[in-house]
Amino acid sequence: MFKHILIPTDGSPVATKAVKAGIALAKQSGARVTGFYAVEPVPLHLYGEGYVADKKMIAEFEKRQRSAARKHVAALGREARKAGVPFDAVVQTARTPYEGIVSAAQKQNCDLVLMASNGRRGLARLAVGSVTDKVIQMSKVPVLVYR
Amino acid sequence: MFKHILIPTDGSPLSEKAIAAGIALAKESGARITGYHVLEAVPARLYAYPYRGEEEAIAEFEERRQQAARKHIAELARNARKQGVAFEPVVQTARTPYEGIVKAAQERDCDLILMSSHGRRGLARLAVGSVTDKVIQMSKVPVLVYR
Repeated sequence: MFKHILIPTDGSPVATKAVKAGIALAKQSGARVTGFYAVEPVPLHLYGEGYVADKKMIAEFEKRQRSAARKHVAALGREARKAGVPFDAVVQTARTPYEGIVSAAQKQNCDLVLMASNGRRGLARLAVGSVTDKVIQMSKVPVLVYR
Repeated sequence: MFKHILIPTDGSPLSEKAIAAGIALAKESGARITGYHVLEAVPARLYAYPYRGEEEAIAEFEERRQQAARKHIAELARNARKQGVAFEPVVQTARTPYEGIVKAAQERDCDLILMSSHGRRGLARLAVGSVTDKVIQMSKVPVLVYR
């Protein structure tokens, strides 16, 4: 049914639940999994006047972000290998996570995006929004949403 | 992986794509399908002045809606049976489609809802909203969204 499943993660508990389901589905379908983590760039204002942030600090920030990203994606990779599912890791910088996810799904030729949702409602939903919502709006590939 | 998939349909071409995918997924998973069509409750105002006395027209309206719903579901059923997938049709009245879908999934112990989305953006999204959006917000069961 599915050949290549993109599983974005941010390392949160809801994402971990989706990961388990994603790997089980991949195993059933004989699909491979690409684990994805979108790294957001350092906010532009940190480069502006009035901040003491020097280049070294920004470089350090980016380094730590990337190592956290690799850690989360590696955890996904371990689960996949345990289940005998072929796995690739992608850590990418994107302006926003949803743009990163949608473009990764397209570039990697995935036929499913599987992700979790915090499922906010009401005002919190309007205020905070949700990466999953935006992925569903923008993605040309089917999206499977876990709670 | 999945044992019981709920496929809501409104008979639109968009949902046909979701249906084909749903049947393929059910076949692969060994799941059964419940095909679901929601009839929105007749607006209460139709029973009030100045419509009073039009019960016959309302009954006729109800009857035709039921027929249309049964027709859509029967098509789904034919496709499912062709693939050897167990199928059960359900036509139900609910206040709104999303409430009907979320409740049906829970009551019938479905472990996946598979549906399509028009994927409106921007103002159209705020104004018109989408049944799929609301199902994702409210459902405790995973939702697979097709475009």
